[in-house]
Amino acid sequence: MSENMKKIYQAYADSIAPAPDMQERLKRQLYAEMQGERPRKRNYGRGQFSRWLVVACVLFLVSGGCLIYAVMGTSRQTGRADGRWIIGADTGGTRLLGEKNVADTDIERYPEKEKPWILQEMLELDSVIVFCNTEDGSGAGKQMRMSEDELWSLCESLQSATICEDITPDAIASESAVRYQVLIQYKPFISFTVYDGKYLQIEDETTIYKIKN
Amino acid sequence: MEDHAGIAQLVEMYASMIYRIAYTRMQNVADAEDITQEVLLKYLKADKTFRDEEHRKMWLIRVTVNTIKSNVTSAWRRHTVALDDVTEPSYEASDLPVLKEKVEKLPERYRLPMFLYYYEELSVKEIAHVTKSTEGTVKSLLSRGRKMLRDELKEDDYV
Repeated sequence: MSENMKKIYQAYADSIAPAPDMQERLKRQLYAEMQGERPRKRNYGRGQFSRWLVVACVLFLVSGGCLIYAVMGTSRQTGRADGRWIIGADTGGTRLLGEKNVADTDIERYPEKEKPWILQEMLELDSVIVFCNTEDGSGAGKQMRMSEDELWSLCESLQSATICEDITPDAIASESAVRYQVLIQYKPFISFTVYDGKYLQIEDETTIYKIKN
Repeated sequence: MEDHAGIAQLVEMYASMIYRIAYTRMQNVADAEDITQEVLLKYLKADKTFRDEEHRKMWLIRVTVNTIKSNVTSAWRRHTVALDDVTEPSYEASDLPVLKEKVEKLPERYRLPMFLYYYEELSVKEIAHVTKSTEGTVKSLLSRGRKMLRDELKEDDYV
C-alpha cells in the first residue's frame, strides 16, 4: 500500500471530519428513536392491520369475482352461448333467484321457448328445493324431496328440451307422471310435470316440450 | 437492545467512520449525517451479536454501503438536485484544500473503494465483500483510481 496515498487519504479524512456537535445530536436522536420504539411498534401494528385489511378486501373481491364467474359458467353450462340468463341476476329487475322477492308469475315474462332453460337455471340453484310428486295408475302418490344427484340429472335432461308443436297435454297418454314443485326459500316458485320421462309441461300450460334421453 | 451508555459508546466509536464513508460517496453533509443516523438505528434495531469488534465494524461498513446505495437510487434523489449543486459555492467551499477537491474529483465508483482501502485500511477482499463485487473489480477500481488521483495531484506537485 502506497504510504503517500495513505497520507493523502488521511488528510482528506481530516478535511471531511463531521461537525463537532454531530455526535451529541446523534446520541439525542438515537435515544429519542429508541424510546419511541414502543409507539412505533404500535404504528407497525396498525400497518400490519391495514395490510391484513387490504388482503381481506382483495380476497373478498376475488371470491366475489369467482362467484360471478362460477355463476356465469353455470349459465353457460345450460347451453346458452350468450349467457343472457345469469342466475341470480335479473334482466328485468325483479327476478332475483333465491331471494324472497321472486314472483310466482315471473315465469310468464319469458317467451315460451325459453322456459325449460329458466327452469334448469332455477334447479341448479343451491337454495332451490324441489319436491317430486309421483303418481301411479291408481292415482296414489307420494311426495319426496329430490336429492342433489336427481336434480342434476333432471337439469341435464331439461337441457335438450324442445317444443313439440304437434302434441297437446290431452294427447299425452302417459303411464307415469311426475310432478315437480320448485320452492325457492320455501316459497313455491314454479311447478312442472314430466310424463314418461319424455315430455315436459310447465304449470298447466298447453305447450309441451320433448325431452331427449 | 442498547441502553444509554451503549448508544453513547456506539456513537463515539463508529459515528465518524460511518459519516466519512457516507460523505465520501454523497459529498453532502446533510446526506452523510442522515445516513449515519440511519445506519446506527439499523444497528440498534438489529440487536445482533458480533464475534468481535472487527466483525461489528465490518457489519457497520456493509450496512453503510447498502444504505448509501439505496439513498443514491431512491426515487426522491433521482428527481431532486441537492441545494449545494444549484447555489453558489459557500465561503467554506472556497477554503477547501486543493487535496480534498482532487479526491472528490474522482468518479463516483472509484471514491468509495479508494477511501475504504487507503483510510479504513480494508483489504481488497473485504471491500469486495462490503460492496458486493468481485476482488478483480475492486483491484481494477483501485488501480485506475490511483492513477487518476496521481495524475490530478501531479499537476499540483503533491506526488
